Amino acid sequence: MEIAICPSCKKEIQEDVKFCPHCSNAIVSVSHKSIFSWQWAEKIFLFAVILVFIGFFQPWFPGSILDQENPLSAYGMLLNVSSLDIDFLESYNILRMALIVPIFAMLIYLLAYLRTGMQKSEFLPIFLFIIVCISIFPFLFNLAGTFFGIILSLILLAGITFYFKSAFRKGRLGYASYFLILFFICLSVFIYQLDLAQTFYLKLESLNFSETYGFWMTWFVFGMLILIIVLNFMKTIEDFWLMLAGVILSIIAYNTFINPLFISGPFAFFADNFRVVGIHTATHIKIVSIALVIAIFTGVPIGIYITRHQTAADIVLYLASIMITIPSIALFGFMMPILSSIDRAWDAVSGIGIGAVPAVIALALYSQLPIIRNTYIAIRNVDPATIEAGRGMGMTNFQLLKQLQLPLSAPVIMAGVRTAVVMSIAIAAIAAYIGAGGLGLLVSEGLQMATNDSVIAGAISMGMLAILADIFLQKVEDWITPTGLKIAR
Amino acid sequence: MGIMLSLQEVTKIYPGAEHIKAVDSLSFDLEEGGICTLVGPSGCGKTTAMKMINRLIPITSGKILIDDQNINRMDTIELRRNIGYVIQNIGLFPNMTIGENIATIPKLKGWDHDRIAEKVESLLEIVNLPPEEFMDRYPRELSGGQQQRIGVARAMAVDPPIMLMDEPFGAIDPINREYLQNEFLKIQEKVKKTIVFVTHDIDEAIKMGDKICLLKDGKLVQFASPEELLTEPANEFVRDFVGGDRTLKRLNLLKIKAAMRPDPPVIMKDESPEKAKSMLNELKADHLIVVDDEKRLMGYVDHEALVKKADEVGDVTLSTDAFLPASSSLKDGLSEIFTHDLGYIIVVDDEKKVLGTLREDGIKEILRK
Repeated sequence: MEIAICPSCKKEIQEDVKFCPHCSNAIVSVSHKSIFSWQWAEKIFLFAVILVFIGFFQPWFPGSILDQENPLSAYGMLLNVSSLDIDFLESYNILRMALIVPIFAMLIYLLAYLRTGMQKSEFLPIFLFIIVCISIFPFLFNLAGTFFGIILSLILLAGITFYFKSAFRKGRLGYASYFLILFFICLSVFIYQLDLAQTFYLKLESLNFSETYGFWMTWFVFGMLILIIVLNFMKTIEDFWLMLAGVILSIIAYNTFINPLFISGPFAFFADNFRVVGIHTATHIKIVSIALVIAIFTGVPIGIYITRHQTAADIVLYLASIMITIPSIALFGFMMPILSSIDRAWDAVSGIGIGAVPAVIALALYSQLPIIRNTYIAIRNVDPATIEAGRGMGMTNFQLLKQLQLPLSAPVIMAGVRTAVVMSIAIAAIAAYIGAGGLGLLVSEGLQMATNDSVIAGAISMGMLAILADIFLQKVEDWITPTGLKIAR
Repeated sequence: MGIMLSLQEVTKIYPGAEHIKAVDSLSFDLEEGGICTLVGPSGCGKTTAMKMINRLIPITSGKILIDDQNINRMDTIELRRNIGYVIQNIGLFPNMTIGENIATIPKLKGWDHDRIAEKVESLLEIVNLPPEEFMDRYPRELSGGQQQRIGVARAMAVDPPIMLMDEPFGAIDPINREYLQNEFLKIQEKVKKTIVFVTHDIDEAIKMGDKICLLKDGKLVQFASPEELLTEPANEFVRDFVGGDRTLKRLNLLKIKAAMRPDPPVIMKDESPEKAKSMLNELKADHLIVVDDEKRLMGYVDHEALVKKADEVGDVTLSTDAFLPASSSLKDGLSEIFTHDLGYIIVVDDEKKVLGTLREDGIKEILRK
């Protein structure tokens, strides 16, 4: 977390004061210094959690996942936590449920974080608090006895309400999206507990409220928590949509546990094939990145060249737009025989007829239009007065390009790159059909073997990849936009 | 003081429009340290002519010499780096800070860092924008008037001997325009650059120029000083262009010192009212100027005022504000004469010492010369 400090005496000040209250010096521009904050711990925590959850699915993680004997196995840990020796746990589902839910929670958290550029939060302490509660409450309540349990839960509820309310008033809590995560996790866990309660109910002979009320109390407490959060945070229509998204995702996550519905199936698929999905994602990213790099290094120079030669401009733009209308399968189809014959004729290369090479070439060709066109338009739209001033001052063409035209065109060129990236991620799905690998394999194999979960999982992953790539490139675009252009009058 | 810029039979014909000469055999010489304003109606070729000087537009025929060197034989880039260039739309580079904008040409020329920093600071001070405040701002944050001042500073960064200015104050509002014109003339007093200044506004041309070059349809109509242009217009067109009020325009150019009648009769404040009366009768005047012992203006007396009983003239002196410093323009002088019914105004120096009087016929006389 950064705080504003006086450049002379280095003490903390407000951002916009003109004179330092400590040393009375005039302040032309504030300095900043970083202090440890929850945000740092949050980032570390987030990273660690993601690592751990991924680790759970790696065979090299301490203990095999399903090995109940090994004290370090994730499975065993879960068993101990819930202390339920119930045979339905043999199914993988509970594990998936318990682990996938937080993974998606983390993903949404990440997206919300990137989208809203969160500055300060107290998400971490609340999150830890919730995790602890998830583990402890049922037993606390059960141990405390009915009456005391009720009192305890009421006190706890009061405490939580107070904490949230005072925090809301002071504005210390973060954005609604944080609490969407909270909501999401809570809801999932309640439903989890709800189901556990039901199963508990099934397993035990005589059951009265006092036996299972621990679950119910926990549910009640968390339910109230949800209500407080929701009521406090629903200020805009976007909060509503976010909350709705959270509810839907929770229900989906829940269904992963009970029975794979059409929608929740893909999530189960992710859980089962995490590593494979990871490999395919890596290949997909690799193909798209290489194609993009080639496209940028050919497209941008061509774009620059055609700004100086109008006839060439007409031809090149025309060709590029034609290129994009060729259906991707057809283009991949053209590539194969051509590259195969090159393969045969030229000993230096081998195996370029199918696989990654035609895919990369085809993607690079498709990406030409957005990049060339955006470069061309951006450079031509630089204010002529600026260029005239530059030329009149004695800048060579190269200096004009480097100092004026490119920096001033950078945002628009980047926008073209973003378009190309998102487009390529989608088209690269087809690459699977010619043996290049990538997430398209999930789709193609799913279609072949009639496992719809695979198909949808593939589509979802490509969608998420495109969204994340776009967000990342948005940050890059911000980074390369010259400061002078970001200032409003 | 030699001739810095010389245009000789410069002509421009655009390919594809061979029947029209955008600039037709333009010739003039400009001395070092002088401002030449190129004026004319729209489409007369003034901007084209100026842009041929730094070869933004290639010359079709004729020569342009800068310091006796033919510009066509010089390296274009080097030529341009040694000519300051200011345009109407200002053209500051939005992606660079003000400091970086001004430092553009020095950097192109490979000056070292410290020298550039020093120069940028001094230039910002010359154009009246404090360096600490403005060095790291961006063009977008500045107003039009401020931006154009930076434009001028940028053009002067490497002390070019010649500067070209294409309607530099055209895109600025009238109030700031006058201020910028005055500021620029003050800067020119200090730096004495040779400047070619294009404008379509005859008043600006007269105010700014040492020599005015009036163009029509690409041809030179008259090349003369402002005074000459106003008193001896070469033909009907010039007369019309300058405007029907050309004689009044001259009032702007002349100072009241030139038209005043020096050493008017005055009376000291401690003299007797009787003496004042007798002086009035002698001179057959209506008013008499009263001064103190340092000859500073106190006021005036007339017959009415002298009716009252008093020991000294100073006691019955009427105050007046019908006076102006000698450095004021004749236009202000005439305006002041009309404001008061004294019939004349008193000309004073910086210390309010009486120098002379300015009357209407004095003004008429000087205008007729």
